[in-house]
Amino acid sequence: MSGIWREASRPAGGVESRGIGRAEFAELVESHHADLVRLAYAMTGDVELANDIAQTTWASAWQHRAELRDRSRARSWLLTIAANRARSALRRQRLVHWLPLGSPRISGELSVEDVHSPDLVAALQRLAPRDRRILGLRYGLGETSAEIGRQVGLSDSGVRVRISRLLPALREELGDD
Amino acid sequence: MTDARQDLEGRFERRLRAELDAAVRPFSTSEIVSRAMDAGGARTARRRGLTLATAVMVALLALLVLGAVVLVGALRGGLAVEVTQTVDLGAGVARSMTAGDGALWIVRPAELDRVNPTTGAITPIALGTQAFDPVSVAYGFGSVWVLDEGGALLRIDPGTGSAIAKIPIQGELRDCHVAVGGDAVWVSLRDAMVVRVDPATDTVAKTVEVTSSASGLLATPGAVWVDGAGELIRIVLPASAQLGSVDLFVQDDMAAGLAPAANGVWVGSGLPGAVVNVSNDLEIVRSVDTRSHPLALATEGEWLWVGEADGTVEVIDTRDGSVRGHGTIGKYVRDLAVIDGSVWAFSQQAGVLYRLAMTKNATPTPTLGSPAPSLDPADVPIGWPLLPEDPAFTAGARAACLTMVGADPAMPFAAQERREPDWAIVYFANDAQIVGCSVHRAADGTIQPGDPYGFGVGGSSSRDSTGSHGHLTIAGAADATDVSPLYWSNVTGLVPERAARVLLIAGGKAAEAVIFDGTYAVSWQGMVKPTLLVAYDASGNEIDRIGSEVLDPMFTHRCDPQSIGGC
Repeated sequence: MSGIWREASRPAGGVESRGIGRAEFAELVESHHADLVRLAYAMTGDVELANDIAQTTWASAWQHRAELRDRSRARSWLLTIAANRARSALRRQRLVHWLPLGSPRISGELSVEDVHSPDLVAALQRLAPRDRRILGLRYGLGETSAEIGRQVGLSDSGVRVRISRLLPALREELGDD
Repeated sequence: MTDARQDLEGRFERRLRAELDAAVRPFSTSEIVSRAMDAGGARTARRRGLTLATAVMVALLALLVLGAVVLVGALRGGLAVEVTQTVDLGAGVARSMTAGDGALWIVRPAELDRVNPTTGAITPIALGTQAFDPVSVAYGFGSVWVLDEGGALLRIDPGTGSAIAKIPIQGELRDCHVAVGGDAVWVSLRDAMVVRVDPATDTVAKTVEVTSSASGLLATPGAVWVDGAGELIRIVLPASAQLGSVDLFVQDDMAAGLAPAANGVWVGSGLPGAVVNVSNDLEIVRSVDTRSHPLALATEGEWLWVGEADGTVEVIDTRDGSVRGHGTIGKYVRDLAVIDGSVWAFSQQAGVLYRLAMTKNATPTPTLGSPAPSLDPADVPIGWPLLPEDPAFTAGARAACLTMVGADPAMPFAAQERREPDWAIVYFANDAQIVGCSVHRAADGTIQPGDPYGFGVGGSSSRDSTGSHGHLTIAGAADATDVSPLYWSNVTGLVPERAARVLLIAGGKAAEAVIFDGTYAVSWQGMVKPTLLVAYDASGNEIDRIGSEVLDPMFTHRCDPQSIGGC
């Protein structure tokens, strides 16, 4: 059979470079490892699993480093890999995810009571995985709504609307009325 | 933003950051880098560690699957859906279609058309509305309802073709939908909201917030169903509130079709393709594989018609999930409608409206999707297709893979790809030999992440440490390490004493485990949780049964061989 042999992870254009070298990769680890753990923890609620996910994210990133053509997007790329891995882990734990919502919640004025829960991450686990990811990125990692939108496939305004609905919902879940 | 909102956000952020920070273990950058760089080697070591028995089991299982593919391909052969009439729609790609008042109603850019199903005559409806840009159409309450992207829902008198009412809709309406059901007309908005319009007053009666934007909308007498971003949402009536959702693990924003079912709804699911029956209490009841990605569904009696991305129209018997037949029209079958017992379809590619019918000699094919509960494993057919595919391709793929496995690799360990014009082999090698191989094919000739694979063989045919085909990433993927919406996993365990055969039942489908040297191994993919693992002795008598309460997919299940029934 005829055909062209090439490395699977190499860009279609046949670029010879493997991209990031060890030193640059180490810089990425230094800069982003903690945030990968934070995001994974927000999504899974499991410290051990979160640290494992971060580690495997780096393994995957190294293996696929040739695919990172735009270095300025490294953070977004890494966070997406971590989020995908967290989601996979959640799938393994539960095949079909149920999302009981009760009555719909309309965003509006919020009272000024503090959030008293001793464990916000545990409360996050009652939300859908994507919502955990959005809140984790926004409040745990300080990402902008535009950047979050790029990662989760929503518009900037869509992310803001989503967050405006999630916050009071989470407050209610925490019994903070 | 209000002070109260800012205040809440500030406290929430501080608390969440503190908790997340606590989860970060002290780490050594150099150690992480070393581990990451060594991961390939570790995987190689794992592959080396695979016993010959495992390799043989996987190979045998692959052969079994191949047999199923060939069988299903043969059974599915023959064109049972025929085109009995065509109507040339001319310029302008149709967007949506409905049936009502003895006619078909089609919207396309700046146009609403009435199609006479008997003569095929097309009558444009002149609404005199400037910048009219309809995106969706539905029929009910004696009216045609047209959603205008300009910001209104138009109520049209089907007799005169004139607008009876123009109901302003606030919000972005691009790619949104209108549906009629129960006592209301429903409109989806892009910002994850669904609007209820009262046909008695022609006013917006309620706005319901849902958890994701709709790529499809269906209203039935008891509920409104929203095909959301990776989830199916049910809005319960009359409270008009979201009851809940079920995660379908489809790509976000991928329209896949909705159709009513006696017990709930049928919804399409992509990658590689299935239609899923979801009950009113949001349980996945049945999943039936389709040839490609579903785009439009319609029910006619007991039959479910499925329009798909590759141009296939399949007919599925909703009573048992059997595929009754299939035919092909142009690519991207966007919508289906039923009128006077006839099914009509249009595709994006062809610009033609097709009237479809089943051939008289269409006979049911043996099902691969019978009901899962109270299932007698002995009656469940073995195997299912990993990829609805022609046997010749699958056989060729298998031969190509088997030729490669065991050969010297072209390079040290790496996942490598050999690409043909419309398919690719991905193989996996350690530093000594090629240990795994899988073949991938895309209908349009491009190989993309998530494309279905045709065949896999070897100790490992995945680049992911989970050993999952579904996690495969092919060249060009920017960030995809998890591209499959399907569950793909393995169950292994010790063979119960005297067991000669082990079957895994998942969603009405059965996979036969390969038994080797006192262990069994079985793999499956699908959207339905496996319900049973049953072992038989050499005489065919059931000797062990493991229920879903302990059969947890994605994890290895182990059974005490001395404790029959006590797993």
